[in-house]
Amino acid sequence: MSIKVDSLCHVYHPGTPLETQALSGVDLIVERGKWVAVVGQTGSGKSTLAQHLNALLLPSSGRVEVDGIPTTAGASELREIRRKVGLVFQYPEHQLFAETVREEMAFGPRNWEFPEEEITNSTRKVMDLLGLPHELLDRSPFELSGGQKRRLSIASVLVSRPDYLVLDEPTAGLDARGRNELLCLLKGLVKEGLGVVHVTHDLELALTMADRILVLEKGKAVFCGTPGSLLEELLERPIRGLCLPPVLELVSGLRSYGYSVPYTLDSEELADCLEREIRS
Amino acid sequence: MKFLNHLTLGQYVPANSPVHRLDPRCKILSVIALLAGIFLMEHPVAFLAWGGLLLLLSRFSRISFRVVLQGARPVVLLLVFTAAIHLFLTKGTVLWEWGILSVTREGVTMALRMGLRLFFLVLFAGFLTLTTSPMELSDGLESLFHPFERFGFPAHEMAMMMTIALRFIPTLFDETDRILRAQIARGADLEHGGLFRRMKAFIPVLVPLFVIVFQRAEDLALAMEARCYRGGSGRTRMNPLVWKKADTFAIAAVIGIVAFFVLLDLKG
Repeated sequence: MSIKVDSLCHVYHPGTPLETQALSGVDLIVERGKWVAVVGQTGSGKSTLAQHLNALLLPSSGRVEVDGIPTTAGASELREIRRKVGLVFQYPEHQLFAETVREEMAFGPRNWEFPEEEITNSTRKVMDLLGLPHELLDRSPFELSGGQKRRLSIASVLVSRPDYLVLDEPTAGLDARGRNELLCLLKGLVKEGLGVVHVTHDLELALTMADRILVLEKGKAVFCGTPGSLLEELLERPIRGLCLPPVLELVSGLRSYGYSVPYTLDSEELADCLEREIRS
Repeated sequence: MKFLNHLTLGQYVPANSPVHRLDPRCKILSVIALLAGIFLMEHPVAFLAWGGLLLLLSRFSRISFRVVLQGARPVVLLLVFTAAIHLFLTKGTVLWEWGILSVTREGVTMALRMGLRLFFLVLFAGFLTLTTSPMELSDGLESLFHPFERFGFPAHEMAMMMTIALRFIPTLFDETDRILRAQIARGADLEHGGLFRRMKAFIPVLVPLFVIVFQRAEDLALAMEARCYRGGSGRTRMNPLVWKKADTFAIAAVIGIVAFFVLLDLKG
């Protein structure tokens, strides 16, 4: 049970002067209960890849399979794929439209013809999960605060019980607290068996959260592996389009001056080690 | 999968031709003269001369004749309809009859005349938008309408509205596309069901679109005010319109040609 992306290529506007190769030969496996981060600069093909995972875009060549079903299958399979793979776009609060939060939450599950009773139960559960109080149910989604809107739009995808969740820059425009809350919450969902694909340009975030990282550069996969191996790789040779997080810059600087401090992203740990180094 | 094709609004074809370089005011006035001339045409034969002028213009503006002809595509139906009405409903010497339908000699000339008139109207008017960017066009209109401001005509505001509208059309297409995708990802089905169902299915796209449009309008108003925009009075331009010798020559030539054609046509 996984999403398999196999030498995926995507060409926008084929046969016109605007033809651009957005993805060339990308491989990726996303398992349930794993957090996969897709990292790259603007225009590296991250968002294109994200839309392939839920069949909004179809491969120009190559294959995308969700639990064994290719995204090029017929209409009914396509609907099932779209339910299994929830997709949260950048600034998802732009998709809010309903008169009440209750209606907004019910939009997805009604499209997939869930029974009403199940929708009510599932709505309450997901709202609890995302820390949205039940009093909001009858309010207009446009009255909510920015952070609440973001959480509501993610909730409105989760309520259809996807097995995988693809998020495009889910933390963009959130303050530090909102960001940490959201990340914690996603971590919890991953523990419960959700497969998360986190599209971001923030390498530090990817290194701390993900189980596996795919680095895209101009539509090509330049790295795919664990955060640990990415770190080693990064310290050996720079990967184009990625720069080290500031803490790691500091670590490698300190090491070149002869301090034996570990490669860590945790600044507290680094401070402790450095203190010990200097004392001894 | 593509949900919205990018429409190019207006059909500006950028090129560096003598016609492109003309002052937009000159082009607007010339087009008015040309259209007036076409309205005065009577002889079907005279249209050959207009056709020749069209070819000449397309050479001068370095726009292929095929592109020029494509401009008539949206009005083909109207053309056929107009011609047919004139063909069958004009009274005179009967040439051919079938039931209640009859074609007269006068009908044939009338149909040809009206059809060609419309055809040439659209093609000549098309030259204006083919060779003038929307920005230039709205600048030109503003400057031409400027004298009417003393009678309370809001020339600058009209031009500004036109510019803003044109500027935001592509942005709105992008926004619509994004919202469409987001709702489809939530299982929205926009392609099946009857008319009513499909119209209802578009509510989840239209509501967010309106929200975004109002938000953008407010942001834009704020940004303009923050830069002290206070309407047209006393405003200078980055690229002021300059009426050159070539413009005078061009408009004189156009008026001359139109007058010549009309006189020739009146004499028979």
